[in-house]
Amino acid sequence: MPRISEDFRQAMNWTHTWLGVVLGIVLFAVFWMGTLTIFAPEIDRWMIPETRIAHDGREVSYDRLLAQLPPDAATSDYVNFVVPTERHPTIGVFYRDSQGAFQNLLLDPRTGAPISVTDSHAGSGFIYPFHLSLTIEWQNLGYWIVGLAALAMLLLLVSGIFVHRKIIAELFVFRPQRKPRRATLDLHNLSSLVGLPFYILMPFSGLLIFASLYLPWGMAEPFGGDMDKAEAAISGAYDPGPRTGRPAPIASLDAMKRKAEAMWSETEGAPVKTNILRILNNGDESAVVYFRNTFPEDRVVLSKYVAVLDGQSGAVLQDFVKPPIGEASAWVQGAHFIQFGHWPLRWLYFLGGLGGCVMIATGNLFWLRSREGRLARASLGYRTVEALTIGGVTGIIAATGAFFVANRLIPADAFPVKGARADAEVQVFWLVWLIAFVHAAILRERAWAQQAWAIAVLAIAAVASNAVTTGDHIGVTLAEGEWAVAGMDLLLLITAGIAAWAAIRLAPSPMPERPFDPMPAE
Amino acid sequence: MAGNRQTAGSQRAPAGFGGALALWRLLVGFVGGYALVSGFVALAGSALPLLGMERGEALSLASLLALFVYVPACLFILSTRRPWRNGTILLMLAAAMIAAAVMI
Repeated sequence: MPRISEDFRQAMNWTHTWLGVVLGIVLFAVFWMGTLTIFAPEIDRWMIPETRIAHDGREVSYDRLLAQLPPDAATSDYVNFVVPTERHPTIGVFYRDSQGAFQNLLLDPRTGAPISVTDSHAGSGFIYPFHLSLTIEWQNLGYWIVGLAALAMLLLLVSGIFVHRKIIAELFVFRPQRKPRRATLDLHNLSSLVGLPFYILMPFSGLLIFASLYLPWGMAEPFGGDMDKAEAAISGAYDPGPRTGRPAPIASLDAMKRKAEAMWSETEGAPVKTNILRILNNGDESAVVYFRNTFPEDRVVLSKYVAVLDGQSGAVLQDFVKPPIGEASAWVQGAHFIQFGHWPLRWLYFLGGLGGCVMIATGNLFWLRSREGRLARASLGYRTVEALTIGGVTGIIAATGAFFVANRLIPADAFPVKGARADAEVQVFWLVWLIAFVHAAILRERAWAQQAWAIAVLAIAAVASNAVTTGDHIGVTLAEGEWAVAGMDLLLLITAGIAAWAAIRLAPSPMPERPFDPMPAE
Repeated sequence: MAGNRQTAGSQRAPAGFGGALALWRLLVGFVGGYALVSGFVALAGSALPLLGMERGEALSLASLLALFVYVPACLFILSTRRPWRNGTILLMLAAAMIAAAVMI
């Protein structure tokens, strides 16, 4: 390795320090919600109890389901079915109604009837979009903030490697009994290095997934500025064009599905199943049916196969198979989506995500700890970072707990308008998070212990309110093998235990003003 | 500028990171780097098909490589001892790539 000059190291230190302080809390929020998103389907089961249905793997007739949909679906230009799986036992339907608004239904796989579900965004509708965009939809601003944070994370990881001199040694160093500042830095280095490949993979693949959003000009330019053409070449997107206005009945979806799957299985040499079944221009002569193998159980690669069949004749209009480089890219993206059926690996991702949270939180803490001995403690900058760190770490965890509790305690008929109750749960999240920041700004380091207590109380309240409102307490769910709900309750209890332990350890002890002792950040 | 080796604490900006210079580094690193990576993806997506690669594949390859351009370019501008000169070179390179991609 060539000698690294002191100038370069200082530049990397500057970059690492300031990117970390400015974007650390955004990164923590994205990592925290991303970690939860790994279990978004299980969170959905917990928050929308009507979907706690056992998946029996029965064949579903999409012809029958289509016939059972509300009448305006019969002439909709967009009807999308999501095939049920073990983790998503209900059949998802998403269609544009006659007013042009999108309707979202969940169907019972046993009867095909829509389930009247708890009005909640839950994991897939709030936690997952928060991970992508902080749910700031205006001008896609949230996506750009998260994208900048992801880029910053890559810069932080590379600069972080150069800041530190003894990389291998740091893997084996953790001195919790030393001064808090030293111990914080040890933990920051240790958590960073243990998960380093994972931390590089996550922002890299996350940015890759949204390449066409982040590079709208660059990705469209090779196709003459037409992003639809680029999408069609890369992912097999298909546009049937406008409706002709000449009505025509749709042919059997089930027969077309079998045809598409037979075609794919022959190419793959192993059974390939449909995950997405989409009717475009339903009821019109221009109707087509689009089949996609989005999340294969036994593959990392996403959406390798897309078939488009003519709505009347069933003729194959498009048989898209990802070409080699596209497949490599889809593999990298699949490693971010984690939809393959591999539970041990899923838990490893979960631990990796939590490790990332520790890395980010200790990074911010070290910034504070290496300054508190100086007079800076009273400065606006120090107080701002302090409040952002406390509110951004324990605050967002407490706000998530409040989101779960609100889900169980807001009455089903609290709001007359559909969607209002779901939005109210999200407003509880934002309100509690905001309060956490204000609380941290006022109480300063005493806020840590209090917010940890809040997490513990909210987690227990969530478990208790689930037991009371649904009857599915841990005894029942464990006995019945309802692992999604049992797992969620158990994780909440573990969280409560850790938070209470931390709260006791964090209880403010009369701290003498520590004299400043210089220590290099290595 | 670069010879100043004072052991700046983490509180004070190291040499070469004062006011305007830091702003220049950040702007060229992030915004200039963004222009560079946009130009790179557009150019690779436009030029590789001339060598026989499928256009969609060229674009997939370009998007896979994009961060291998952006991250080093950004870190280079943040750390270089000659930020004015090298920043200008990066901006010119970005402009050249964008122009080439548009022309192909």
